[in-house]
Amino acid sequence: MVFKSLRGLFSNDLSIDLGTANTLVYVRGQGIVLNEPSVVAVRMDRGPGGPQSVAAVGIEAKRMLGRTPGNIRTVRPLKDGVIADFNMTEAMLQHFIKKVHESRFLRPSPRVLVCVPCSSTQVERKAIKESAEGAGAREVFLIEEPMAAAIGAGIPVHEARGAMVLDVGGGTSEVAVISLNGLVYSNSVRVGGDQCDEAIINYVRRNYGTLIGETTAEQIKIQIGCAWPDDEPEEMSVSGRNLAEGVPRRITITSNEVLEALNESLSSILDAVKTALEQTPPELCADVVETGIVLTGGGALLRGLDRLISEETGLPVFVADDPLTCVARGGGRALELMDQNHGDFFSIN
Amino acid sequence: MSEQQQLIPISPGESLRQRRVKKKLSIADISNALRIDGPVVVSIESDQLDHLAPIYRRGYVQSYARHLGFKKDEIAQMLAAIDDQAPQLHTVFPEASRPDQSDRWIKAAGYVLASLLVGTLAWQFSHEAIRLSGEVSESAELGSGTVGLNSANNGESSKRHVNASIAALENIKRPSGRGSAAEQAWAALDQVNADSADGIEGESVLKLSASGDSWVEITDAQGRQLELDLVRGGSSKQYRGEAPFSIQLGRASAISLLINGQAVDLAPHTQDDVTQMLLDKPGDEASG
Repeated sequence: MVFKSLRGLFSNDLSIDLGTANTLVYVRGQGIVLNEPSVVAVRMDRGPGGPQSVAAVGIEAKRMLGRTPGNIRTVRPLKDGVIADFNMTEAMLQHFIKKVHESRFLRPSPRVLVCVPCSSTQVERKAIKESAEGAGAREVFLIEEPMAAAIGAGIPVHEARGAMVLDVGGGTSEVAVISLNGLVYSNSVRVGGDQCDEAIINYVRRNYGTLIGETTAEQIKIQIGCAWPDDEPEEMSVSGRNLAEGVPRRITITSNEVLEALNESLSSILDAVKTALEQTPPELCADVVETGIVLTGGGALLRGLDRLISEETGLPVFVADDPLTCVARGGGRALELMDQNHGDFFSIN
Repeated sequence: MSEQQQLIPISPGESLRQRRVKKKLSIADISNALRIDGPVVVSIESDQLDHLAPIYRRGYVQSYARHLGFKKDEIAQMLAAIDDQAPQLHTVFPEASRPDQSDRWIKAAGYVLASLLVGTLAWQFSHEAIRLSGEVSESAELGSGTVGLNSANNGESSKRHVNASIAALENIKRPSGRGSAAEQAWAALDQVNADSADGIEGESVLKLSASGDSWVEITDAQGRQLELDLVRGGSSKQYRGEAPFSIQLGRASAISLLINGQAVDLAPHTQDDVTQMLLDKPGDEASG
């Protein structure tokens, strides 16, 4: 205990956005210092069931995704915003914490604030907490993602004024109404970037008879993905395996086709927003009409998503600056505030 | 428009207004298109959005500019003119600020000071222990002098006094240094002890000196186990009991034995360096 606190003197406080797709680490006083995919490559030296060792974590592991030999498998330890593989999450966190403290003599033992989906269960939260502790954290705080996202986006959460935030992440989309440093309403749907990728893969297989990988689907989404029809559709050429012939083929897909593929996922997100507006108390709803909805998370970068939500809800919708890092930045600021004031009013159990 | 007017940079709100007028759009048109209330559109154009947080100000200006067809770099220029300082976080209810908001280096200094304190205490403790052991040696030396004086002058009564002194001193660990004053004091005590033991009726004193490690088993006539242990080389031990003694020595060559001050010849009872004998008082016969 004493050693941990001694080591803590030489460790920086961290805010970790432990996302399904990417993990971001914000170091207090330094900003975002790490943004790597939440992927771990595991080497199984003596075949399946044998001893496992971590071969690569983050970007290196993601490069291996779908390209591994028999003795290496790539794992995404988080699914739908929560831990799917406890040991791998711990190994990944340990790697990231060590990486951001690379030049230190002592093994780091920082205070860590981890962002969790608002609909996560107590068991899931405890798993995240224990995982962070196992990775060397001396104290672990949890904060709900929409709250962190709102703080990171620059919304004055302490004001007695309702503000709506929609955080579209890799595994989940979270919508919340915030007032007076608390969540008045929050909801999470298990639809995010991953489901969009899956939808694109299914669309291409169904319409082109071609199988494409996750990485290719993600590239399509990032480059020509949109949520509102384009007047001049963009095109993109990708390679996949033709299912009928069994040989690689090149296909060209347009942005409007991607929109068609994403239709179902976008509808789920829209439904969540509409439900939130229905459930919000009238006074706060009036505030939201004035201030609008703020979009954060990687999904906010999908072209036309703000337009789609604005058209469907009749409210102004804005995309936050640097939406990908909002949650991690917000977590960092929450950590500062918690440190300045006695009490961890943002953190949850 | 005069040249001077063109040189003066115009505010984001003013440029938005000019573009709207140029496009012949009304406030209502903008309000409908952007889903923003009419008064808010007017506030944007008059750059009076101070009551809103920067994120909303930037959001409104960006949406408005995009709708009017401004280019990306023009929008970026407009946004740069808006103060983007994120609002300071506040607690809703008054919170007691932490009493010890000390810097991490102050904490580190605290740890160092604590370590120094613990180190000093440890050093002082060990130093004190050494000093105390020195005092014990001196008192032992002093005690032996007193014993010699008393035994020479007072006969029987002094012996009882000496025995009491020995009993107390035997509880004190003997110093390991050889040839020291303390060692001499202990030797004198042993001698006194042996002398005093002679006086006890029916008991014999067995003195064992080991030059090397040896297993020793000694039992007296009453069946009392006087020794059942490995005796280390360089040590000497003394036992009292009723003769005859049953003795077993694991390494006879390393042991010299005295009974009531007389040397015992182990050779007749030794085979393969192991002695097994029944030792009686001097004058009586020992059997192997």
